[in-house]
Amino acid sequence: MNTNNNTVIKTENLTKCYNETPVVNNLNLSVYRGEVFGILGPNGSGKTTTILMFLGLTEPSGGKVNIVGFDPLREPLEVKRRVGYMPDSVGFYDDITARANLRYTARLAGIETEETEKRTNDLLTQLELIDVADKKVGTFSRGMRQRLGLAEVLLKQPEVAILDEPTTGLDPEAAQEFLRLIRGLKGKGITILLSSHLLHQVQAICDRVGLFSHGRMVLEGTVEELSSKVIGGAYDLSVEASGNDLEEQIRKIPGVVEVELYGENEFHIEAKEDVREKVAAEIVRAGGKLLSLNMKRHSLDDIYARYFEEERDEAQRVQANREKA
Amino acid sequence: MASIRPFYLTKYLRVIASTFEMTFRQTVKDAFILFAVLFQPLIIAMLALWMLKDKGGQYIIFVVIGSGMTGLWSSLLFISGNGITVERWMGTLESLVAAPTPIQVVVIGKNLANVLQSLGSMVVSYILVSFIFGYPLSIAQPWLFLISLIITVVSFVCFGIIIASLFILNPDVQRWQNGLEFPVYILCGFLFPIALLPGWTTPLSYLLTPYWAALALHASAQGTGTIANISFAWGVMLGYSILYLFLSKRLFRVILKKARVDATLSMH
Repeated sequence: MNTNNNTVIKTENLTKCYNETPVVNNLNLSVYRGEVFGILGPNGSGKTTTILMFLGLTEPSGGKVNIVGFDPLREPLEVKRRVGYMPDSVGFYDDITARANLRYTARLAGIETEETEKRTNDLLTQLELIDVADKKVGTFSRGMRQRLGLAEVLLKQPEVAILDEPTTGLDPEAAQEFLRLIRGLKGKGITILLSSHLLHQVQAICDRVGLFSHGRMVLEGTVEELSSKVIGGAYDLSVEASGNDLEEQIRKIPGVVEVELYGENEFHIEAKEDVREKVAAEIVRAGGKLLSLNMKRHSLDDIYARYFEEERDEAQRVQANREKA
Repeated sequence: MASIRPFYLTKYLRVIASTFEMTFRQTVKDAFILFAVLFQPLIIAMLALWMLKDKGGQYIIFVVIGSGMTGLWSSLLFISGNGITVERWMGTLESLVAAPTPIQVVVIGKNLANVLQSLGSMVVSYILVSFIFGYPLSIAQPWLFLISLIITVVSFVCFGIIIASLFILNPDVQRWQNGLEFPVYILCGFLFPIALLPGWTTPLSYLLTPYWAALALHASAQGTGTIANISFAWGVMLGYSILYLFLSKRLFRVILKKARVDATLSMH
Protein backbone atom coordinates (compact mmCIF):
# COMPACT_ATOMS: atom_id res chain seq x y z
CA MET A 1 0.00 0.00 0.00
CA ASN A 2 1.34 3.44 -0.91
CA THR A 3 1.71 5.70 2.07
CA ASN A 4 3.84 8.80 2.34
CA ASN A 5 5.56 10.01 5.49
CA ASN A 6 2.71 12.33 6.20
CA THR A 7 -0.01 9.68 6.13
CA VAL A 8 -0.50 7.91 9.45
CA ILE A 9 -3.69 6.00 8.69
CA LYS A 10 -4.54 4.71 5.24
CA THR A 11 -7.21 2.28 4.17
CA GLU A 12 -7.95 0.80 0.77
CA ASN A 13 -11.38 -0.68 0.16
CA LEU A 14 -11.55 -1.70 3.80
CA THR A 15 -14.60 -3.89 4.35
CA LYS A 16 -16.09 -5.76 7.28
CA CYS A 17 -19.09 -8.04 6.98
CA TYR A 18 -21.07 -9.90 9.60
CA ASN A 19 -23.08 -12.77 8.12
CA GLU A 20 -22.45 -11.30 4.68
CA THR A 21 -23.96 -7.95 5.70
CA PRO A 22 -21.38 -5.19 5.27
CA VAL A 23 -20.99 -2.96 8.33
CA VAL A 24 -18.01 -1.16 6.79
CA ASN A 25 -18.13 -0.99 3.04
CA ASN A 26 -15.10 -0.24 0.83
CA LEU A 27 -13.66 2.45 3.03
CA ASN A 28 -10.91 4.55 1.46
CA LEU A 29 -9.48 6.97 3.96
CA SER A 30 -6.26 8.85 4.63
CA VAL A 31 -5.51 10.59 7.90
CA TYR A 32 -2.47 12.87 7.96
CA ARG A 33 0.10 13.45 10.66
CA GLY A 34 -0.92 16.01 13.27
CA GLU A 35 -4.54 16.46 12.20
CA VAL A 36 -7.73 15.90 14.15
CA PHE A 37 -9.96 13.69 12.05
CA GLY A 38 -13.56 12.97 13.03
CA ILE A 39 -15.37 9.79 12.05
CA LEU A 40 -18.92 10.96 12.45
CA GLY A 41 -22.29 9.38 11.98
CA PRO A 42 -25.24 7.87 13.80
CA ASN A 43 -25.01 4.80 16.02
CA GLY A 44 -24.60 1.66 13.95
CA SER A 45 -22.99 3.43 11.01
CA GLY A 46 -19.73 1.46 11.27
CA LYS A 47 -17.54 3.90 13.21
CA THR A 48 -16.46 1.59 16.03
CA THR A 49 -15.88 -1.34 13.70
CA THR A 50 -13.63 0.88 11.59
CA ILE A 51 -11.65 1.88 14.67
CA LEU A 52 -11.31 -1.71 15.84
CA MET A 53 -9.93 -2.64 12.41
CA PHE A 54 -7.35 0.15 12.72
CA LEU A 55 -6.18 -1.40 15.97
CA GLY A 56 -6.19 -5.00 14.76
CA LEU A 57 -8.93 -5.82 17.27
CA THR A 58 -11.34 -6.72 14.48
CA GLU A 59 -10.37 -8.54 11.34
CA PRO A 60 -11.35 -6.97 8.01
CA SER A 61 -13.34 -9.10 5.57
CA GLY A 62 -11.57 -7.35 2.72
CA GLY A 63 -9.27 -4.49 1.79
CA LYS A 64 -6.19 -3.14 3.51
CA VAL A 65 -5.35 -0.95 6.46
CA ASN A 66 -2.04 0.62 7.36
CA ILE A 67 -1.48 2.55 10.55
CA VAL A 68 1.78 4.34 11.41
CA GLY A 69 3.43 2.22 8.73
CA PHE A 70 2.27 -1.16 10.04
CA ASP A 71 -0.40 -3.68 9.23
CA PRO A 72 -2.33 -4.07 12.51
CA LEU A 73 -3.10 -7.72 11.85
CA ARG A 74 0.46 -8.76 11.02
CA GLU A 75 2.29 -6.50 13.46
CA PRO A 76 -0.21 -5.82 16.25
CA LEU A 77 2.38 -5.12 18.96
CA GLU A 78 4.11 -2.47 16.79
CA VAL A 79 0.76 -0.74 16.29
CA LYS A 80 -0.18 -1.05 19.98
CA ARG A 81 3.13 0.57 20.98
CA ARG A 82 2.45 3.62 18.81
CA VAL A 83 -1.30 4.02 18.99
CA GLY A 84 -3.35 4.92 22.07
CA TYR A 85 -6.97 3.83 22.20
CA MET A 86 -9.83 4.94 24.42
CA PRO A 87 -12.91 2.71 24.01
CA ASP A 88 -16.40 4.19 24.08
CA SER A 89 -17.05 2.57 27.43
CA VAL A 90 -13.70 3.01 29.09
CA GLY A 91 -13.18 0.61 32.00
CA PHE A 92 -10.97 0.82 35.08
CA TYR A 93 -10.27 -1.16 38.20
CA ASP A 94 -12.77 0.68 40.36
CA ASP A 95 -11.41 -0.46 43.73
CA ILE A 96 -7.98 0.95 42.89
CA THR A 97 -6.85 4.58 42.80
CA ALA A 98 -6.47 6.62 39.63
CA ARG A 99 -2.71 6.70 40.12
CA ALA A 100 -2.50 2.91 40.54
CA ASN A 101 -4.61 2.39 37.41
CA LEU A 102 -2.23 4.61 35.45
CA ARG A 103 0.83 2.84 36.86
CA TYR A 104 -0.60 -0.49 35.76
CA THR A 105 -1.29 0.82 32.27
CA ALA A 106 2.29 2.11 32.14
CA ARG A 107 3.63 -1.26 33.17
CA LEU A 108 1.61 -2.99 30.44
CA ALA A 109 3.06 -0.51 27.96
CA GLY A 110 6.59 -1.35 29.15
CA ILE A 111 7.38 2.11 30.56
CA GLU A 112 10.19 2.29 33.15
CA THR A 113 9.27 3.02 36.78
CA GLU A 114 10.88 6.47 37.05
CA GLU A 115 9.41 7.59 33.75
CA THR A 116 6.03 6.21 34.82
CA GLU A 117 5.99 8.38 37.95
CA LYS A 118 6.94 11.49 35.99
CA ARG A 119 4.41 10.93 33.22
CA THR A 120 1.66 9.96 35.67
CA ASN A 121 2.10 13.14 37.71
CA ASP A 122 2.34 15.32 34.59
CA LEU A 123 -0.80 13.84 33.07
CA LEU A 124 -2.82 13.91 36.27
CA THR A 125 -1.93 17.59 36.58
CA GLN A 126 -2.59 18.37 32.92
CA LEU A 127 -5.97 16.63 33.01
CA GLU A 128 -6.89 18.24 36.33
CA LEU A 129 -7.05 14.95 38.23
CA ILE A 130 -4.11 15.49 40.55
CA ASP A 131 -6.36 16.28 43.53
CA VAL A 132 -8.18 12.96 43.16
CA ALA A 133 -5.17 10.92 42.07
CA ASP A 134 -5.21 8.81 45.21
CA LYS A 135 -8.96 8.26 45.29
CA LYS A 136 -10.59 5.06 44.07
CA VAL A 137 -11.81 5.31 40.47
CA GLY A 138 -15.17 3.86 41.53
CA THR A 139 -15.99 7.23 43.09
CA PHE A 140 -15.28 9.18 39.87
CA SER A 141 -17.89 10.97 37.75
CA ARG A 142 -18.26 10.13 34.07
CA GLY A 143 -16.25 13.23 33.12
CA MET A 144 -13.41 12.30 35.45
CA ARG A 145 -13.35 8.75 34.10
CA GLN A 146 -13.11 10.10 30.55
CA ARG A 147 -10.20 12.33 31.54
CA LEU A 148 -8.50 9.38 33.23
CA GLY A 149 -9.10 7.38 30.04
CA LEU A 150 -7.37 10.13 28.08
CA ALA A 151 -4.49 10.05 30.56
CA GLU A 152 -4.13 6.30 29.93
CA VAL A 153 -4.00 6.95 26.20
CA LEU A 154 -1.37 9.67 26.55
CA LEU A 155 0.76 7.77 29.03
CA LYS A 156 2.60 5.89 26.31
CA GLN A 157 3.11 9.08 24.29
CA PRO A 158 1.42 7.72 21.19
CA GLU A 159 1.84 8.94 17.63
CA VAL A 160 -1.89 8.47 17.12
CA ALA A 161 -4.69 8.70 19.68
CA ILE A 162 -7.95 6.99 18.75
CA LEU A 163 -10.93 8.04 20.85
CA ASP A 164 -14.23 6.25 20.39
CA GLU A 165 -17.25 8.43 21.29
CA PRO A 166 -15.25 10.39 23.87
CA THR A 167 -18.01 12.85 24.79
CA THR A 168 -20.92 10.44 25.06
CA GLY A 169 -22.61 10.67 28.43
CA LEU A 170 -20.93 13.93 29.37
CA ASP A 171 -22.93 17.03 30.20
CA PRO A 172 -22.41 19.92 27.73
CA GLU A 173 -19.92 21.70 29.95
CA ALA A 174 -17.85 18.57 30.61
CA ALA A 175 -18.01 17.69 26.90
CA GLN A 176 -16.68 21.12 25.89
CA GLU A 177 -13.95 20.86 28.50
CA PHE A 178 -12.98 17.42 27.25
CA LEU A 179 -12.92 18.60 23.65
CA ARG A 180 -10.71 21.51 24.66
CA LEU A 181 -8.25 19.00 26.13
CA ILE A 182 -8.32 16.96 22.93
CA ARG A 183 -7.71 20.04 20.84
CA GLY A 184 -4.73 20.83 23.06
CA LEU A 185 -3.13 17.52 22.03
CA LYS A 186 -2.90 18.71 18.46
CA GLY A 187 -0.26 21.20 19.55
CA LYS A 188 1.82 18.30 20.82
CA GLY A 189 1.98 16.73 17.37
CA ILE A 190 -0.34 13.82 18.15
CA THR A 191 -2.64 12.74 15.36
CA ILE A 192 -6.15 12.34 16.72
CA LEU A 193 -8.90 10.23 15.28
CA LEU A 194 -12.16 10.46 17.12
CA SER A 195 -15.58 9.07 16.46
CA SER A 196 -18.85 10.62 17.52
CA HIS A 197 -22.53 10.66 16.76
CA LEU A 198 -22.75 14.15 18.26
CA LEU A 199 -21.83 16.00 15.09
CA HIS A 200 -22.36 19.54 16.31
CA GLN A 201 -20.22 18.88 19.39
CA VAL A 202 -17.05 17.75 17.68
CA GLN A 203 -17.11 19.80 14.47
CA ALA A 204 -15.32 22.68 16.18
CA ILE A 205 -12.21 20.63 16.94
CA CYS A 206 -11.94 18.52 13.77
CA ASP A 207 -9.66 19.61 10.93
CA ARG A 208 -11.43 17.16 8.64
CA VAL A 209 -14.34 14.80 9.06
CA GLY A 210 -15.69 11.69 7.39
CA LEU A 211 -19.45 11.26 7.58
CA PHE A 212 -20.52 7.64 7.86
CA SER A 213 -23.83 6.08 7.02
CA HIS A 214 -24.67 2.38 6.83
CA GLY A 215 -21.01 1.40 6.71
CA ARG A 216 -20.07 3.82 3.95
CA MET A 217 -18.12 7.03 4.27
CA VAL A 218 -20.45 9.21 2.28
CA LEU A 219 -18.65 12.53 2.67
CA GLU A 220 -15.12 13.55 3.58
CA GLY A 221 -13.41 16.90 3.95
CA THR A 222 -13.41 20.07 6.00
CA VAL A 223 -16.73 21.34 7.26
CA GLU A 224 -16.54 24.19 4.71
CA GLU A 225 -15.84 21.76 1.86
CA LEU A 226 -18.74 19.53 2.86
CA SER A 227 -21.02 22.49 3.28
CA SER A 228 -20.09 23.73 -0.17
CA LYS A 229 -20.49 20.27 -1.68
CA VAL A 230 -23.83 19.40 -0.08
CA ILE A 231 -25.59 22.68 0.56
CA GLY A 232 -23.99 24.61 -2.25
CA GLY A 233 -22.69 27.39 -0.05
CA ALA A 234 -20.46 27.28 2.92
CA TYR A 235 -21.92 30.50 4.29
CA ASP A 236 -25.48 31.21 5.23
CA LEU A 237 -26.59 34.83 5.54
CA SER A 238 -29.79 36.19 6.93
CA VAL A 239 -30.41 39.78 5.76
CA GLU A 240 -33.20 42.17 6.60
CA ALA A 241 -33.30 45.07 4.16
CA SER A 242 -35.85 47.28 2.46
CA GLY A 243 -35.55 48.52 -1.10
CA ASN A 244 -36.53 47.78 -4.66
CA ASP A 245 -35.32 44.83 -6.66
CA LEU A 246 -32.79 43.84 -4.01
CA GLU A 247 -33.18 40.08 -4.62
CA GLU A 248 -31.93 40.43 -8.23
CA GLN A 249 -29.04 42.70 -7.22
CA ILE A 250 -27.84 40.37 -4.47
CA ARG A 251 -28.07 37.35 -6.78
CA LYS A 252 -25.53 39.04 -9.12
CA ILE A 253 -22.86 39.30 -6.40
CA PRO A 254 -19.95 36.91 -7.17
CA GLY A 255 -19.94 33.99 -4.70
CA VAL A 256 -23.67 34.06 -4.04
CA VAL A 257 -25.26 30.69 -4.79
CA GLU A 258 -28.87 31.13 -3.83
CA VAL A 259 -31.16 33.93 -2.63
CA GLU A 260 -34.59 33.37 -1.14
CA LEU A 261 -36.99 36.07 -0.06
CA TYR A 262 -39.14 35.55 3.02
CA GLY A 263 -41.95 38.03 3.51
CA GLU A 264 -41.21 41.56 2.30
CA ASN A 265 -37.77 42.35 3.68
CA GLU A 266 -36.04 39.16 4.79
CA PHE A 267 -33.51 37.47 2.55
CA HIS A 268 -31.79 34.15 3.01
CA ILE A 269 -28.50 33.99 1.12
CA GLU A 270 -26.25 30.99 0.53
CA ALA A 271 -22.72 31.83 -0.56
CA LYS A 272 -19.44 30.08 -1.33
CA GLU A 273 -17.48 32.74 0.49
CA ASP A 274 -17.95 35.45 3.06
CA VAL A 275 -19.97 38.05 1.11
CA ARG A 276 -21.24 40.16 3.99
CA GLU A 277 -19.33 43.25 2.93
CA LYS A 278 -20.40 42.93 -0.71
CA VAL A 279 -24.06 42.40 0.21
CA ALA A 280 -24.08 45.41 2.52
CA ALA A 281 -22.41 47.54 -0.15
CA GLU A 282 -24.85 46.36 -2.86
CA ILE A 283 -27.90 47.12 -0.73
CA VAL A 284 -26.63 50.64 -0.05
CA ARG A 285 -25.66 51.12 -3.71
CA ALA A 286 -29.16 50.04 -4.82
CA GLY A 287 -30.65 52.67 -2.53
CA GLY A 288 -31.94 50.17 -0.03
CA LYS A 289 -31.87 50.28 3.72
CA LEU A 290 -29.92 47.56 5.58
CA LEU A 291 -31.74 46.67 8.80
CA SER A 292 -29.76 43.62 9.94
CA LEU A 293 -27.23 41.12 8.64
CA ASN A 294 -26.33 37.84 10.30
CA MET A 295 -24.11 35.05 9.09
CA LYS A 296 -24.14 31.45 10.25
CA ARG A 297 -21.88 28.67 9.11
CA HIS A 298 -23.60 25.37 8.41
CA SER A 299 -23.30 22.80 11.08
CA LEU A 300 -22.47 19.20 10.33
CA ASP A 301 -25.98 18.32 11.44
CA ASP A 302 -27.35 20.58 8.67
CA ILE A 303 -24.99 19.04 6.13
CA TYR A 304 -25.82 15.50 7.21
CA ALA A 305 -29.55 16.14 7.19
CA ARG A 306 -29.41 17.86 3.78
CA TYR A 307 -27.29 15.08 2.28
CA PHE A 308 -29.73 12.38 3.26
CA GLU A 309 -32.70 14.51 2.27
CA GLU A 310 -31.21 14.77 -1.22
CA GLU A 311 -30.30 11.10 -1.28
CA ARG A 312 -33.85 10.19 -0.29
CA ASP A 313 -35.33 12.51 -2.93
CA GLU A 314 -33.04 11.00 -5.56
CA ALA A 315 -34.06 7.47 -4.56
CA GLN A 316 -37.72 8.45 -4.77
CA ARG A 317 -37.16 9.98 -8.23
CA VAL A 318 -35.43 6.81 -9.45
CA GLN A 319 -38.26 4.70 -8.03
CA ALA A 320 -40.90 6.90 -9.66
CA ASN A 321 -39.11 6.71 -13.04
CA ARG A 322 -38.90 2.95 -12.77
CA GLU A 323 -42.58 2.71 -12.01
CA LYS A 324 -43.38 4.93 -15.03
CA ALA A 325 -41.20 2.80 -17.30
CA MET B 1 8.89 -19.54 26.03
CA ALA B 2 12.40 -20.38 24.84
CA SER B 3 12.01 -17.96 21.93
CA ILE B 4 11.43 -14.98 24.23
CA ARG B 5 14.31 -12.51 24.14
CA PRO B 6 15.81 -11.35 27.48
CA PHE B 7 14.35 -7.85 27.02
CA TYR B 8 10.86 -9.24 26.69
CA LEU B 9 11.38 -11.71 29.53
CA THR B 10 12.27 -8.85 31.91
CA LYS B 11 9.37 -6.79 30.64
CA TYR B 12 6.94 -9.68 30.96
CA LEU B 13 8.15 -10.51 34.48
CA ARG B 14 7.45 -6.90 35.46
CA VAL B 15 3.98 -7.11 33.94
CA ILE B 16 3.36 -10.35 35.85
CA ALA B 17 4.49 -8.65 39.09
CA SER B 18 2.24 -5.62 38.45
CA THR B 19 -0.75 -7.76 37.51
CA PHE B 20 -0.13 -9.87 40.61
CA GLU B 21 -0.21 -6.74 42.78
CA MET B 22 -3.32 -5.32 41.08
CA THR B 23 -5.19 -8.62 41.32
CA PHE B 24 -4.19 -9.19 44.92
CA ARG B 25 -5.31 -5.70 45.94
CA GLN B 26 -8.70 -6.32 44.35
CA THR B 27 -9.32 -9.87 45.52
CA VAL B 28 -8.08 -9.57 49.08
CA LYS B 29 -11.30 -7.76 50.02
CA ASP B 30 -13.68 -9.73 47.80
CA ALA B 31 -16.27 -11.55 49.91
CA PHE B 32 -16.86 -14.38 47.42
CA ILE B 33 -13.15 -15.04 47.07
CA LEU B 34 -12.61 -14.98 50.81
CA PHE B 35 -15.42 -17.50 51.17
CA ALA B 36 -14.05 -19.77 48.42
CA VAL B 37 -10.44 -19.78 49.59
CA LEU B 38 -10.82 -19.43 53.35
CA PHE B 39 -14.21 -20.35 54.80
CA GLN B 40 -15.18 -23.22 52.52
CA PRO B 41 -11.88 -25.11 53.09
CA LEU B 42 -12.25 -24.38 56.78
CA ILE B 43 -15.69 -26.02 56.85
CA ILE B 44 -14.33 -28.98 54.86
CA ALA B 45 -11.39 -29.28 57.28
CA MET B 46 -13.70 -29.29 60.32
CA LEU B 47 -15.94 -31.98 58.83
CA ALA B 48 -12.93 -34.11 57.87
CA LEU B 49 -11.40 -33.68 61.32
CA TRP B 50 -14.53 -34.96 63.00
CA MET B 51 -14.62 -37.94 60.66
CA LEU B 52 -10.91 -38.80 60.95
CA LYS B 53 -10.01 -37.62 64.44
CA ASP B 54 -9.43 -41.16 65.71
CA LYS B 55 -7.03 -42.08 62.92
CA GLY B 56 -3.96 -40.33 64.34
CA GLY B 57 -1.55 -37.49 63.51
CA GLN B 58 -0.67 -38.48 59.94
CA TYR B 59 -4.33 -38.32 58.95
CA ILE B 60 -4.65 -34.92 60.53
CA ILE B 61 -1.88 -33.43 58.36
CA PHE B 62 -3.62 -35.15 55.42
CA VAL B 63 -6.72 -33.14 56.30
CA VAL B 64 -4.78 -29.88 56.56
CA ILE B 65 -3.12 -30.35 53.17
CA GLY B 66 -6.30 -31.71 51.61
CA SER B 67 -8.53 -28.85 52.73
CA GLY B 68 -5.86 -26.43 51.52
CA MET B 69 -5.96 -28.16 48.15
CA THR B 70 -9.73 -27.67 48.01
CA GLY B 71 -9.15 -23.93 48.42
CA LEU B 72 -6.55 -24.00 45.66
CA TRP B 73 -8.86 -25.84 43.29
CA SER B 74 -11.88 -23.61 44.06
CA SER B 75 -9.75 -20.55 43.45
CA LEU B 76 -8.51 -21.97 40.17
CA LEU B 77 -11.95 -22.99 38.98
CA PHE B 78 -13.96 -19.92 39.97
CA ILE B 79 -11.49 -17.04 40.15
CA SER B 80 -8.82 -17.86 37.59
CA GLY B 81 -11.44 -19.47 35.34
CA ASN B 82 -13.45 -16.24 35.30
CA GLY B 83 -10.38 -13.99 35.08
CA ILE B 84 -10.87 -12.86 31.48
CA THR B 85 -14.66 -12.74 31.75
CA VAL B 86 -14.40 -10.39 34.73
CA GLU B 87 -12.12 -8.06 32.73
CA ARG B 88 -14.78 -8.04 30.03
CA TRP B 89 -17.51 -7.16 32.56
CA MET B 90 -15.39 -4.32 33.96
CA GLY B 91 -14.76 -2.95 30.48
CA THR B 92 -11.00 -3.30 30.87
CA LEU B 93 -10.53 -6.18 28.43
CA GLU B 94 -10.34 -3.93 25.37
CA SER B 95 -7.62 -1.85 26.97
CA LEU B 96 -5.71 -4.97 28.04
CA VAL B 97 -5.85 -6.43 24.54
CA ALA B 98 -4.91 -3.05 23.06
CA ALA B 99 -1.80 -2.92 25.28
CA PRO B 100 1.52 -3.98 23.75
CA THR B 101 1.78 -7.04 26.02
CA PRO B 102 0.36 -10.48 25.16
CA ILE B 103 -2.81 -11.15 27.15
CA GLN B 104 -1.43 -14.52 28.34
CA VAL B 105 1.23 -12.69 30.35
CA VAL B 106 -1.50 -10.74 32.14
CA VAL B 107 -3.45 -13.94 32.82
CA ILE B 108 -0.34 -15.58 34.34
CA GLY B 109 -0.01 -12.63 36.77
CA LYS B 110 -3.67 -12.85 37.71
CA ASN B 111 -3.53 -16.62 38.26
CA LEU B 112 -0.38 -16.33 40.34
CA ALA B 113 -2.12 -13.88 42.67
CA ASN B 114 -5.17 -16.12 42.93
CA VAL B 115 -3.20 -19.29 43.58
CA LEU B 116 -0.90 -17.70 46.17
CA GLN B 117 -3.86 -16.09 47.90
CA SER B 118 -5.62 -19.44 48.04
CA LEU B 119 -2.63 -20.97 49.83
CA GLY B 120 -4.09 -19.04 52.73
CA SER B 121 -6.60 -21.87 53.04
CA MET B 122 -3.77 -24.23 53.99
CA VAL B 123 -2.55 -21.78 56.62
CA VAL B 124 -6.07 -21.35 58.03
CA SER B 125 -6.55 -25.14 58.21
CA TYR B 126 -3.19 -25.46 59.97
CA ILE B 127 -4.18 -22.83 62.55
CA LEU B 128 -7.53 -24.52 63.09
CA VAL B 129 -6.00 -27.93 63.64
CA SER B 130 -3.03 -26.84 65.77
CA PHE B 131 -4.44 -24.09 67.88
CA ILE B 132 -8.14 -24.81 68.06
CA PHE B 133 -8.21 -28.62 67.99
CA GLY B 134 -4.76 -28.85 69.63
CA TYR B 135 -3.19 -31.49 67.37
CA PRO B 136 0.62 -31.44 67.21
CA LEU B 137 1.47 -31.04 63.52
CA SER B 138 4.74 -31.44 61.72
CA ILE B 139 5.83 -31.73 58.12
CA ALA B 140 7.83 -34.93 57.75
CA GLN B 141 9.98 -33.82 54.79
CA PRO B 142 9.94 -30.00 54.85
CA TRP B 143 12.28 -29.39 51.89
CA LEU B 144 10.45 -31.84 49.69
CA PHE B 145 7.19 -30.28 50.84
CA LEU B 146 8.42 -26.76 49.98
CA ILE B 147 9.57 -27.79 46.50
CA SER B 148 6.27 -29.65 46.00
CA LEU B 149 4.39 -26.53 47.01
CA ILE B 150 6.33 -24.31 44.57
CA ILE B 151 5.81 -26.75 41.69
CA THR B 152 2.13 -27.02 42.67
CA VAL B 153 1.78 -23.24 42.40
CA VAL B 154 3.44 -23.26 38.95
CA SER B 155 1.26 -26.09 37.68
CA PHE B 156 -1.94 -24.55 39.06
CA VAL B 157 -1.10 -21.19 37.44
CA CYS B 158 -0.60 -22.94 34.09
CA PHE B 159 -3.73 -25.08 34.53
CA GLY B 160 -5.66 -21.85 35.29
CA ILE B 161 -4.70 -20.41 31.90
CA ILE B 162 -6.19 -23.43 30.15
CA ILE B 163 -9.38 -23.23 32.21
CA ALA B 164 -9.77 -19.47 31.59
CA SER B 165 -9.27 -19.87 27.86
CA LEU B 166 -11.68 -22.83 27.65
CA PHE B 167 -14.34 -20.87 29.54
CA ILE B 168 -13.94 -17.95 27.14
CA LEU B 169 -13.96 -20.12 24.04
CA ASN B 170 -16.97 -22.11 25.09
CA PRO B 171 -19.40 -20.54 27.57
CA ASP B 172 -21.24 -23.89 27.70
CA VAL B 173 -18.22 -25.38 29.47
CA GLN B 174 -18.37 -22.54 32.00
CA ARG B 175 -21.87 -23.67 32.95
CA TRP B 176 -20.30 -26.87 34.31
CA GLN B 177 -18.17 -24.83 36.69
CA ASN B 178 -20.12 -25.72 39.84
CA GLY B 179 -20.33 -29.35 38.80
CA LEU B 180 -16.57 -29.57 38.38
CA GLU B 181 -15.70 -28.51 41.93
CA PHE B 182 -16.40 -31.59 44.05
CA PRO B 183 -15.55 -34.37 41.52
CA VAL B 184 -12.00 -32.99 41.33
CA TYR B 185 -11.72 -32.98 45.15
CA ILE B 186 -12.53 -36.69 45.02
CA LEU B 187 -10.67 -37.69 41.84
CA CYS B 188 -7.49 -35.96 42.95
CA GLY B 189 -7.43 -37.47 46.41
CA PHE B 190 -7.51 -34.19 48.30
CA LEU B 191 -9.22 -35.61 51.40
CA PHE B 192 -8.85 -39.37 51.03
CA PRO B 193 -6.61 -41.59 48.87
CA ILE B 194 -7.85 -42.44 45.39
CA ALA B 195 -7.23 -46.10 46.21
CA LEU B 196 -10.66 -45.98 47.84
CA LEU B 197 -12.25 -45.13 44.48
CA PRO B 198 -13.25 -47.65 41.75
CA GLY B 199 -10.29 -48.64 39.56
CA TRP B 200 -11.72 -47.11 36.39
CA THR B 201 -11.39 -43.58 37.87
CA THR B 202 -7.60 -43.86 38.30
CA PRO B 203 -6.66 -42.90 34.70
CA LEU B 204 -8.89 -39.83 35.06
CA SER B 205 -6.97 -38.83 38.17
CA TYR B 206 -3.66 -39.22 36.34
CA LEU B 207 -4.81 -36.69 33.73
CA LEU B 208 -5.37 -33.99 36.33
CA THR B 209 -2.42 -31.96 37.58
CA PRO B 210 -4.09 -31.38 41.01
CA TYR B 211 -3.85 -35.15 41.59
CA TRP B 212 -0.06 -35.08 41.24
CA ALA B 213 0.09 -31.96 43.39
CA ALA B 214 -1.95 -33.66 46.11
CA LEU B 215 0.23 -36.77 45.83
CA ALA B 216 3.50 -34.84 46.25
CA LEU B 217 2.19 -32.62 49.05
CA HIS B 218 0.55 -35.44 51.01
CA ALA B 219 3.57 -37.74 50.65
CA SER B 220 6.13 -35.12 51.68
CA ALA B 221 4.00 -33.86 54.56
CA GLN B 222 3.27 -37.32 55.94
CA GLY B 223 6.69 -38.75 55.10
CA THR B 224 5.09 -41.64 53.25
CA GLY B 225 6.75 -41.05 49.89
CA THR B 226 10.22 -41.75 48.53
CA ILE B 227 12.21 -39.05 46.72
CA ALA B 228 11.71 -41.09 43.55
CA ASN B 229 7.91 -41.08 43.62
CA ILE B 230 7.67 -37.46 44.82
CA SER B 231 10.06 -36.30 42.11
CA PHE B 232 8.05 -38.31 39.58
CA ALA B 233 5.01 -36.28 40.63
CA TRP B 234 7.04 -33.06 40.20
CA GLY B 235 8.08 -34.20 36.72
CA VAL B 236 4.48 -34.90 35.72
CA MET B 237 3.35 -31.50 37.07
CA LEU B 238 6.13 -29.68 35.20
CA GLY B 239 5.42 -31.68 32.06
CA TYR B 240 1.73 -30.78 32.26
CA SER B 241 2.67 -27.13 32.89
CA ILE B 242 4.74 -27.01 29.69
CA LEU B 243 1.90 -28.70 27.82
CA TYR B 244 -0.62 -26.20 29.25
CA LEU B 245 1.56 -23.23 28.26
CA PHE B 246 1.96 -24.64 24.77
CA LEU B 247 -1.78 -25.28 24.45
CA SER B 248 -2.71 -21.92 25.97
CA LYS B 249 -0.61 -20.07 23.39
CA ARG B 250 -2.66 -21.72 20.68
CA LEU B 251 -5.95 -21.34 22.53
CA PHE B 252 -5.39 -17.62 23.03
CA ARG B 253 -4.57 -17.26 19.35
CA VAL B 254 -7.93 -18.91 18.58
CA ILE B 255 -9.71 -16.72 21.15
CA LEU B 256 -8.28 -13.47 19.78
CA LYS B 257 -8.92 -14.54 16.20
CA LYS B 258 -12.52 -15.39 17.11
CA ALA B 259 -12.92 -12.07 18.94
CA ARG B 260 -11.53 -10.23 15.90
CA VAL B 261 -13.81 -12.00 13.46
CA ASP B 262 -16.96 -11.77 15.60
CA ALA B 263 -16.06 -8.44 17.26
CA THR B 264 -16.95 -9.85 20.67
CA LEU B 265 -14.08 -8.34 22.62
CA SER B 266 -16.03 -5.56 24.27
CA MET B 267 -19.31 -7.39 24.89
CA HIS B 268 -20.17 -6.73 28.51
